[in-house]
Amino acid sequence: MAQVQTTEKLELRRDVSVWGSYMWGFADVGADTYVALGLVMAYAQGAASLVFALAGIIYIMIGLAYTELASAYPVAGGGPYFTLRGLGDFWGFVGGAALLLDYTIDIALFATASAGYLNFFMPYIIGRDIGSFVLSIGPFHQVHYFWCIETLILISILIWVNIRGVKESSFLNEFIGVLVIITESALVIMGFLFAWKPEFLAHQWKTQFPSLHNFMYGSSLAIISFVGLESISQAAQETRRPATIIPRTSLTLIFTVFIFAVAFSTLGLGVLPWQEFAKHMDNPIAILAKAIPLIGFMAGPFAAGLGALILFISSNTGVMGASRLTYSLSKFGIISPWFNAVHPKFRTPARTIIIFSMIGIVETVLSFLTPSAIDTLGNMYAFGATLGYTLVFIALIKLRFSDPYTPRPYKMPLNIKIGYKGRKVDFPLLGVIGMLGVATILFMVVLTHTIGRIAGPAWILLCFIYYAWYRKKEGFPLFKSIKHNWEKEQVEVLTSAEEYDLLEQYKNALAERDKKRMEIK
Amino acid sequence: MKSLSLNSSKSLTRQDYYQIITSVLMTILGGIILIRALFSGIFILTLLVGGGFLGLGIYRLSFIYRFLKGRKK
Repeated sequence: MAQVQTTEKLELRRDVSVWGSYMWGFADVGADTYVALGLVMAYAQGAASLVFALAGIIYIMIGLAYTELASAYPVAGGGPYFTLRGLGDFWGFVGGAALLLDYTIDIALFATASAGYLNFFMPYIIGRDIGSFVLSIGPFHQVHYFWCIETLILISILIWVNIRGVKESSFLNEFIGVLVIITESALVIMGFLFAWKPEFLAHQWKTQFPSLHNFMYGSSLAIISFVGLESISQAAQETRRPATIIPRTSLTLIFTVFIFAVAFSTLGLGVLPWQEFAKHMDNPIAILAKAIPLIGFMAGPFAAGLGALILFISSNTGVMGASRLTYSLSKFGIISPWFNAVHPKFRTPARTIIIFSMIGIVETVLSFLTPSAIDTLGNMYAFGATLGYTLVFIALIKLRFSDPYTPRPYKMPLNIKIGYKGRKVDFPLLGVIGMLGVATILFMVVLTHTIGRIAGPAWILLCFIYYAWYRKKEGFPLFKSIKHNWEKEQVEVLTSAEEYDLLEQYKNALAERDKKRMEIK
Repeated sequence: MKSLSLNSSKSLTRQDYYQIITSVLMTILGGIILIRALFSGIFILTLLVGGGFLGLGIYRLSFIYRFLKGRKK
């Protein structure tokens, strides 16, 4: 079998701290509620809190799986890397293609939403609502051209920031992330204290419960409020002492985001009718903040400003994630090493930043030709995420059997010890439950997302054509794997991460395995 | 499962303070939600949210208490 050529010359720097790693994740996942609240309310209606809680439980399991894998394999590839290691090149490619789709949509969706929050100020500044800046282009009516231009400007800024380097972006994430956590906490506390009416929540639940189709659509959209854990594993490559840091940051992150998502939806339904959020899909948190007595006049605009900022950062993590993912995929012969080039001056993957941001720009423009850009982008977003997460769960289960030697600083709870090839393996029961949960949401996406179920598989097919061409050109097998030296790779990763204790454990486990093999021979 | 991992060294870090503050806030908020929910009639969802906040807050605070007690020794 062919041996993959590593053409990488420059490495990504390990300069992200504990706080930076947490904020990197929070800036991405925490911002999702700013978009998802309006979208989910529009479909899940009086049952929005339940939908957020159900999606959140599955998200917690996904988070635990990522925590285990990212701390065991702290490299930039994230989910597709775990899939590649567990299930081989082809499935690694499928996971990578699904996630790349999500990163490009992430850029488009969050930049659009960021501009949406900025538009909250329009009536105050120019006396006109964003709804008045529309035109008809051929068969497309009510095209929000001004909002589209704003979004494109934001994406262009992100391209520039990311080419300049990760350090500047991480600092931005950390500073604004802190501000957002404080604001969200204040809103939740003040909201529950002064504006929340439990009887109104109960009334909406009893009289405005959605149809089964809307409930399923809402549930599959709610999962997008939790997409972004990938960022933490992406950041693992650039985090100091990742095996120690990643479990701490991601576990804190998982519960913070879950609590905020459930709190906001419960608060929202106890303060305003769901129709109000559906009407203001572009800035739902600002509408909620505005409705809080005493502080609303100030909290509304403040939340809108912060929402714009955090969504801008979240869009930024899409740019960062896409570039780091292609960096990893090219390293393992899934895509061309041409993607692997790092900017000689800024040491950032400039080519991939430009290419995938441009795809994000195309998606933005196309989505603005539909009746609701945010709904269209959200519709496509869930497909890639659920497909990628399903593969990650399968890989986690498989790796417990095929790679028991790699030390796991954190393991998903609920394991059953079973015998396998003469040794005891921890079978992850929660991993199986999580896999079934995500697969159910993927099924709901295929059933209810009219755009996502076409655009998602079409994107995978398009990527497959490229993958087949590239693998054939290089003489690599299409459905089988290139021979990767994972043991050497793991030693290099742990050495580079300065995880010397884990390195020693790993080497000892391998030596013991080799000794047993010799004895059998 | 290590759901809350405070720094094992003697001095508290910025992250530890963050976790202590959020735990206190969670407990207070949970209590408020629960009381308000109870006063407006029994509705399972509101009770779950309030109880969830309160339970998680108390669990985290008990962890912090054990940790601080351990440090004193």
